[in-house]
Amino acid sequence: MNFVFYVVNSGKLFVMESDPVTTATPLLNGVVVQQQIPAGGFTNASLMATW
Amino acid sequence: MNNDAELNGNYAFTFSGITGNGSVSSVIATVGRFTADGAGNLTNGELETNGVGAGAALVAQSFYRDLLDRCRQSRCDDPEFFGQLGEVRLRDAGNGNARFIEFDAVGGARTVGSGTMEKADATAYSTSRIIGDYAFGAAGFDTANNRAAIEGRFTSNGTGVLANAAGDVDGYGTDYAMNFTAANYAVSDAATGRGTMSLAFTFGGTPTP
Repeated sequence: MNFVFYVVNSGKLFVMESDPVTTATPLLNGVVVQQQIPAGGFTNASLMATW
Repeated sequence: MNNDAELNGNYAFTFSGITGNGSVSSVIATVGRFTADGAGNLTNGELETNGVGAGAALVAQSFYRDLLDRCRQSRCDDPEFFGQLGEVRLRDAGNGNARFIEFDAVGGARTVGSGTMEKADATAYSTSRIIGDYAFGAAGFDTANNRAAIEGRFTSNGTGVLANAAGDVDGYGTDYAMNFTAANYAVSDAATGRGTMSLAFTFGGTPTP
């Protein structure tokens, strides 16, 4: 899959699939964001806040 | 947006929706960027749109001239300022960012969609600034309006190589692991922050095109 993106900042990109749209290549768009990996890796406790 | 001054500086935006008429419709998406001067003027901008059908494949449009023309005629924070996106309405999301919708569909025709615009950091417009661990998510539709989505993560080394990529693809209701064979990116335009990314993977034994 091929995408075009625009940089928001060094921790965020807006991405959109650039392939011709077919049944094998749906038109996807979304976001890439910096991932903060906790020391020791991800656990259930990594998801702990008010949402 | 409460006033023109809140739309000031460099912005990146993303938009997705459905376009068509009363009998047929299909997915459409856009990404782009613009610069606003805080006084109601967009001094430059560009967008790229993808969609279904002949002539609807990826179209790179520098709407610099169109924006300038529109901005000379009316305030750039009015519903006309996105031009190719049609008429939009903005809603302040704080920190100078905004959510927007396109609302100019008439009689079940044209485009309905929504997106977000966020203040952009032009100092990050380089391949080397995209470095570290990242998570991603993207969703949309195919030509038959089947829903699909991907999510995952990778580590960028700041030179264009994406390593340790992993993810899942929702292939129309069935979850598959993405088995990456290659992944890379490049920020190709240091002036606009535009770049390209390629993710090659198999899922369920099927390679991506």
